[in-house]
Amino acid sequence: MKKQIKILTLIGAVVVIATIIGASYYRKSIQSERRPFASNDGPLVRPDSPTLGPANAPVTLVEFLDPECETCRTFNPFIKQMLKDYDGKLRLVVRYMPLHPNSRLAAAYTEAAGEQGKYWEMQEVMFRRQPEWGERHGQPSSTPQEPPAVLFDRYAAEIGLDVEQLRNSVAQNKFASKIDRDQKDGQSLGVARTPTFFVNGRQLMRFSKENLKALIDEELKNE
Amino acid sequence: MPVIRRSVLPYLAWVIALLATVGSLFFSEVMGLPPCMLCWYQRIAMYPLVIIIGIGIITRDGRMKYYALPLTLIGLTISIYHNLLYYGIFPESIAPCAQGISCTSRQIEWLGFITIPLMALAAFIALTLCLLLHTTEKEREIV
Repeated sequence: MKKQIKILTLIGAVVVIATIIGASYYRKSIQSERRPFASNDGPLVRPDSPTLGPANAPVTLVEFLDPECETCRTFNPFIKQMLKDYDGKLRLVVRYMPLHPNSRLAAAYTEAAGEQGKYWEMQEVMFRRQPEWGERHGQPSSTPQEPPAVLFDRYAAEIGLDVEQLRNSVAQNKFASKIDRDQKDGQSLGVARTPTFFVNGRQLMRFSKENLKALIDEELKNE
Repeated sequence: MPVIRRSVLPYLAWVIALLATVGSLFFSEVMGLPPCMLCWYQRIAMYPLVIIIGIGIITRDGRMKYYALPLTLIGLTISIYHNLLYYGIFPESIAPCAQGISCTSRQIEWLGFITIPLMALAAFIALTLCLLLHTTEKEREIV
């Protein structure tokens, strides 16, 4: 009986250790790979992508997000805080990766708000009030509420947008191709979850605030 | 097959189950590939095999096949169905994958033909064979 336990433990240990080493190696190799981000017209950054922060900032943070994603919502204040903390050294570029039922509509509304110069205000209110309109994982779907479009109109009015114009822009469906393109770009880069971050073209592989900050700091040091 | 080589079969089965478990977790947790619905059902059949076969080896339980084979056969059935969908022999429209990732989206293609569903199928076939071939010998030993 002892012999069997020894053999299984030995094989198990070898497999587990090899996997841990392999995982660490895999993450490092992906994270060290730098995809072109400077040209402003590649799969990471497109000329019409919403951008916050100075264009010549030494670090470009590309975020593939979904307006309906709960983690993106939780992460958003942290990203905005980082933009303040890094004061001019960080540029945020937003790309869409719609993975939920209302994501595309929410993205279109945000883009339409951008036409009136209030992209970031709309993004903020969408995230803040996401529990009212978004899919909530791990919870039974709540009592039927108002359709998302009605809620979005209300948010828009609250932040002082011209709702009529906004509704027209969304109705014309002019942002669909942009959202589609973002999604295709994301897929070509291997983005399967939201949020996915690229720091100067390097994909963040271990998702956490600390690791994101560490990667940004590393890029600033190398700069 | 000589007895010595046959006694290796449960170990081989255990290693296959272990590699399939660790490998599938590597795909989803490290590489970030989301598992589809059918992959989850196959995982349900595969993961317990590491424990069941492992305990069967340690306790030298000749009846191990009665515990393990139902799981490998369930896994094998789902895996065959998955591969038929994946390679387009069944139309995708009958796939029960309403949520999350489609069961036919290609995520890995090593050497042009090694895909995740194919690896799963190979693992379930190998496991089933190991258990079938082994127990004939084991039963003889116990009786």
